[in-house]
Amino acid sequence: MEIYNSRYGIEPFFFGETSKELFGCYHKSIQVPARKHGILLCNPMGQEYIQSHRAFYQLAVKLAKIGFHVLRFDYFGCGDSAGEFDQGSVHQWVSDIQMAASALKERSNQSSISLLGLRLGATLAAMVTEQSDVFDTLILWEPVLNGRKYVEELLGMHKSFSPKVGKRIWGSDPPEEMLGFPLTAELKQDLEAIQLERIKSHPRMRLLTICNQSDGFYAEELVRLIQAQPQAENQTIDDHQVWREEVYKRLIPITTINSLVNWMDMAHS
Amino acid sequence: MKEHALKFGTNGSLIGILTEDDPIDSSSNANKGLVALLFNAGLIHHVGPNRIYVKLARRLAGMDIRTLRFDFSGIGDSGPRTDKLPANDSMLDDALQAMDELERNWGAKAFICIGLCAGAAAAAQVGIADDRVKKLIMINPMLPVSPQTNLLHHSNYYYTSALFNPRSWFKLISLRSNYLSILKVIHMKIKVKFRPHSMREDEQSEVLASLRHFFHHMKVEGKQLLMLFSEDDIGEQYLQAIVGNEYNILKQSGQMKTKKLVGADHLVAPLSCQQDLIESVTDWLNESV
Repeated sequence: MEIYNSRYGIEPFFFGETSKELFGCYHKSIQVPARKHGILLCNPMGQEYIQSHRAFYQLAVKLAKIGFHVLRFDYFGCGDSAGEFDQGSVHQWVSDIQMAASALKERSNQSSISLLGLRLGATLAAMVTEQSDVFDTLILWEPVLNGRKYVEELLGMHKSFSPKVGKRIWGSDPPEEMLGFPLTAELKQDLEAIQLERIKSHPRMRLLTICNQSDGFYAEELVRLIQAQPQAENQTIDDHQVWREEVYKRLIPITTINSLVNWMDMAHS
Repeated sequence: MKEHALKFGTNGSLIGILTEDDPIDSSSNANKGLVALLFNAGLIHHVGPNRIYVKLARRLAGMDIRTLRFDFSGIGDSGPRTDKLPANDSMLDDALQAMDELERNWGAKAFICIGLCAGAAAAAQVGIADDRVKKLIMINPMLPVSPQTNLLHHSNYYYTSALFNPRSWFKLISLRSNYLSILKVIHMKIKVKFRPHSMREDEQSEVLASLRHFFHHMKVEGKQLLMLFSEDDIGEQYLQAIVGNEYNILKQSGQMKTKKLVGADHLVAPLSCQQDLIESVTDWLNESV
């Protein structure tokens, strides 16, 4: 009897420079014939990465089921990739996305690639499209709009999580950390410099933004940002922000995932 | 250090990362047959909470101990099963498949099972089921939810936070405290002090039986055990109150060591505590390997 579902088969592999190997999971298209298109999923970072991991797995499985070739991967110093988190930088992670896009092209034998990123991963993906016009579609799922606010938010969450954290052992001058991950001065500076509105993607590229907050300043700001882009669309979807919730509570924002899959299906039919 | 992406199990649906000292750089083969298995902390994938499993696996590689971090079926990168096996049985079967794979293709002869929270419970289950497991490292093991665990949580709160908080004392004298809960905790403390096994009577017999069986098995089979508890975790209090003698005898014999991770929360988020955890594990292994 088949005890595992072989339709969900994925190929885990390492790629890139030997000293900076990145870990990826390639989801080969399950549908025959496959579409001539690959999708690269760009993770968030830190605790948000851990909490959204299974959501990205499910998204990749669903996209592969309708014929896309999908690659999930970890940035340098994150997840299963080489390096320590405090060695990571925005510049490094942007270059990792480019490296992963090449790996996806090679694995899938397709030259047409879309980028789909969540939170910081979305913003990093947008930065990549500013430097290169080879990407067909860009999907920004709750992107980080303003790096300074993002860092403040992470540090605020860390502080409220436990005011006693770290003090007993590190003494009065603990290293800065954000919910289980170190925040070096260099990374903090990198992150604080991010402003999504300054990133100019290629005008021919299709752009979809997904917002899970139905009200407030963030949603308005996101809509305002994409107005200048000729082929842009925003979807506001009332769904769980799994990257913010405790991992045992909710893992899969199924409404958003289904919506993303449907949109990609239509856009590349 | 070298890392390999593994795909194993009946249909190659289980995914994990094997970390080892780079065979080119490695000077010793002392621990080559010994492989550590890291089990999912609940639904968190194989990098572990706050990526601790990655750090730990890389440190163990430096001690010439190979480590496999993998995901149980339906968690992380691993696909779901279709045989509708109950979760505990599925977990055990996945772990045994991982051990078989490592024995067949990576020369594994003995195993160290390591886990945090639900991963610790899985480690215990695998440790009982398979003789190839020689050591266990359990971090903040998941405890059964019962009136006793709730009472211990209250007790822990009163002793560690409320006792030193002026607001709590103000609530007490202004008649706004939960007096029933306080009385229950005091009653429990007195009962446990004068009759250490008194909590057993109320505990679910099935849970007690499985815990006693686990500690008995460790003792009889001569398996070594390290238990790490975060500062706010009630695990050790619980085991002392519920299991009692079997727990204390194993500890006194030196077969089991316990340690408190000062300042740590359940998932060991503070960096200093992560460091403490990794050093506690490597120190213990250095002493016992």
